[in-house]
Amino acid sequence: MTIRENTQVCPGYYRIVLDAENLARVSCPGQFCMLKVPGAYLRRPLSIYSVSGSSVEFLYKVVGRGTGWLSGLLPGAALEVLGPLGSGYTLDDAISGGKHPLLVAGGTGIASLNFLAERLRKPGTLFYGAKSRTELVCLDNFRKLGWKMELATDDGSTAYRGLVTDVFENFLAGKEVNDYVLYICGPAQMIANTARIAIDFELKGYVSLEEKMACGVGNCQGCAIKYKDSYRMVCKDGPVFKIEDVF
Amino acid sequence: MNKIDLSVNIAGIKLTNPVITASGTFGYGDELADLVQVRNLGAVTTKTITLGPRTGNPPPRICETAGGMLNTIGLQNIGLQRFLDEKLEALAGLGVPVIVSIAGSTFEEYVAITALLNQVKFIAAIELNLSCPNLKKTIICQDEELFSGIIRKTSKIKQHPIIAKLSPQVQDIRRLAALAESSGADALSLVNTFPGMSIDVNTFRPRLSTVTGGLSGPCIKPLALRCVWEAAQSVGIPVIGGGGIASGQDAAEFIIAGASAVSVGTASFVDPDAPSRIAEELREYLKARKLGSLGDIKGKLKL
Repeated sequence: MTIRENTQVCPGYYRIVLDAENLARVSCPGQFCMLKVPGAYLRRPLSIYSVSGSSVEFLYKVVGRGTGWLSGLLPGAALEVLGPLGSGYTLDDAISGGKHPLLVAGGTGIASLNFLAERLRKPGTLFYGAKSRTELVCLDNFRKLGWKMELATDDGSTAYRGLVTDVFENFLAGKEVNDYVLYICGPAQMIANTARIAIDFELKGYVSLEEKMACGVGNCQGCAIKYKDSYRMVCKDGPVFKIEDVF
Repeated sequence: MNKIDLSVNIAGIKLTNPVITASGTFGYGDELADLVQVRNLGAVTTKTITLGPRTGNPPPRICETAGGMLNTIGLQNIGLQRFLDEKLEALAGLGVPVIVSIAGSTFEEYVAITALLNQVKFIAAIELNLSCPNLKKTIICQDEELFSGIIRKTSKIKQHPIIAKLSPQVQDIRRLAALAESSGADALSLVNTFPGMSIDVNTFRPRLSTVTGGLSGPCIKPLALRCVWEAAQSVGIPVIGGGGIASGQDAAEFIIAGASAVSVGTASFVDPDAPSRIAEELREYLKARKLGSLGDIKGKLKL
């Protein structure tokens, strides 16, 4: 697939846009792709961030060699992409079930949740945390879609200084949980804390998990996560799981 | 009209081309059927089956290295009963020879599994995993008496050819290869992964849950090739050679060294089409040299 754009959207975060008609047609929120990056041996898994027309976009943070190389690729260059892979977010609870969607995002977790928001077609509430306001990417997208946003930063550059999970917990107090459906995506610790809060409040929903991957298609059994008495593969059984099944 | 013949015959098993998927890299053969043209493969080797199911090792189970990866999957598999109940129909319908890889925690388990698989007519061969380095026991290849005993007993009761898969972690691979042959193995397969480890310098923790794991991928090719060459020199039975093969040229190296067929594993993770692409590249390699078959290059290393 050809790269149309590959630009930095805020310090350390990049957005890459690909010409990918077939991929665009069949992708669902929560799914990911395995990207072949020159200079790294294994492919890199990235959640699909947005789909419009025949374009597919990924949002990524430069954290190591693989993502470093990716950030250097220029428009016009070809990129080998395998996807879409994995199970996506279940949309029914929000769409036909009428529940108000609550999204809790941290770091690059915003990527898959952005695609989810695009497809839900009805606005909900986004809880999004980062170190500083400059790292809160794609707020414009959510604003355009009419979402309510509850932001939290470590440095207080947004209204609330502290953890996004605190904002989330305060929000839930006194609410009728059956009116809502939760979707979580972000760093492991944030996911664990959010899931614990959800379980305490008996709020149901879905979580997108990550684990180091080799094949991305359920073959190598490398990306195992604990699931009840055994293991499931994040790439094939997930990356989206019901919160009560994995926490 | 020059038709290039990639077919090989390994201990009675007819393969249309010499590329075999390695155990642990192609599931039970059926899962990737919608992603890959399985019919283009020479043969498929299943994930290693043990008598009882195994959940495998805790995460993290894999880690990238320069030119390869480490794994500590831990023989996760559904166990023999579920394999017989659930996987046989799909495997029988693949249209290519199926090699079933087996392992046991004891001598008796190897024999028991072989005896039960004797009833399954369509399988092409049984591969004895005698070398997995991720179990917490000694590698069987390092215990000559046990190694020889398992091969001897399973060969005695067999209904299918027995392939002995060797670990490279032995003092003398020539000796191990010869011992496998004299114990009754119909063919050899080597190499399994090499032990290795990786440390996260920010957390001071090992990157794998079991500290050490198995190294595979292009970085081990020179090591594997040396083992395959030495083993092929030491036996008359066919050798399936592999370790880091990612291209038709890589495959040709192993065949020139004496292998009758090649095993492709980790390359499939990076590119699901790797095994059939490698077969095609091997065909192109022969065509470019105006050669007609693998027999023209097999064992033809010039010394």
